[in-house]
Amino acid sequence: MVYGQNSIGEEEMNILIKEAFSNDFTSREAGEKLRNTILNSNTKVTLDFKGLQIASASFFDEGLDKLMEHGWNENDFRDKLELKNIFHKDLALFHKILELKGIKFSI
Amino acid sequence: MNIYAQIMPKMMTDERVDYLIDLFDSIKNSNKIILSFERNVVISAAGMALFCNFIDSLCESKCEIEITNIDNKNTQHLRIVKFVEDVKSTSHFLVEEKYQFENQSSLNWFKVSSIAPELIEKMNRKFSKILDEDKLWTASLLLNELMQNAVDHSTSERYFIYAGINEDDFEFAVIDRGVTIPAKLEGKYVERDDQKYLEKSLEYEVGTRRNRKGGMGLYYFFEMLKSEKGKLVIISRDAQIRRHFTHKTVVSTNIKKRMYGTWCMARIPLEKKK
Repeated sequence: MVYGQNSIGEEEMNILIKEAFSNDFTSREAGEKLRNTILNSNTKVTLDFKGLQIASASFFDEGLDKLMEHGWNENDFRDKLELKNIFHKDLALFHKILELKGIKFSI
Repeated sequence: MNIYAQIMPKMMTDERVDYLIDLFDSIKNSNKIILSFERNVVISAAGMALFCNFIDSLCESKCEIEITNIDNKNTQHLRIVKFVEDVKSTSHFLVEEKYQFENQSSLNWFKVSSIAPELIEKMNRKFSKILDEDKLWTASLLLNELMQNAVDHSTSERYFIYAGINEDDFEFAVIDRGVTIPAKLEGKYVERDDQKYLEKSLEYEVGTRRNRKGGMGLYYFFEMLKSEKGKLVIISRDAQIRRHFTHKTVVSTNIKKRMYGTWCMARIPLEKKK
């Protein structure tokens, strides 16, 4: 995890998934770890999926979609989270899971 | 001594599994099982995984086994003989590394108590010249969900995975001997029979987990295979579902003898990489 500033000087946390989750980026346990990291951050979080395909509904559901159970809404997903270099099928899966939970939007 | 003898079929694949169901059942009433491979020509990745699963079950029951009439030029036959000899010579069953087979067109893995992301990486490397990135992603997704199921829902101590080319299809699956789908779901849902429980398991977020909500992952298994126009086979306890999405055929039946564990098997049509 790397803290830095974005182009307009805001603090943000960068997580390179390949490094932070090198041993496991598919299980619910790994997803839970990601969710807790995001919830404990006081800054915007950028998740960088460079060099990885996740291909796990469990990981996305536990790590990102369940942020809704912690009060996250559409605006929180847009303002507090950025997904970088994500494989198109992974992004579609993340959106599909949100849609199944009744939220239809893209970030 | 009760001896059960069976001639193995010409093709050992995921298509017909009646002979295997008979074999599993025979373990209960036999001290020794003799299997002849005189007619057998093909053992696909699925056939190998199912057979290894049978041997696993056999080993636990302390039933003897004899393999006869193998073809010494058939590498799968030789592998089976070696596998059976290894199992006979060990007091406890299966070491992960020892039972991971690979040939030109298939991967067979055995895993204990945890998911196997290394298998997904290996599968992606092995088949990247045959399958396009999107299809490999689909196979990866479904295997990830099925492995998570085997560990979380079936609480299976061990399970078998395979991936490989079978004629014009890419086939892959997870086969476990843990708690069956109907047994798991009947604690929460009331359905008429095991066929209905299997159908129920394909719905979104159907599951029994409380501390970490989420379904059994079979919803994605169903939806992704549908979108890929693939084939789906689920066998668990007293029922099976077979769906062929290209032909829109559905076979949902009771099987003739009770099975322990769950077999979730998939095929997607192979399109050569452009």
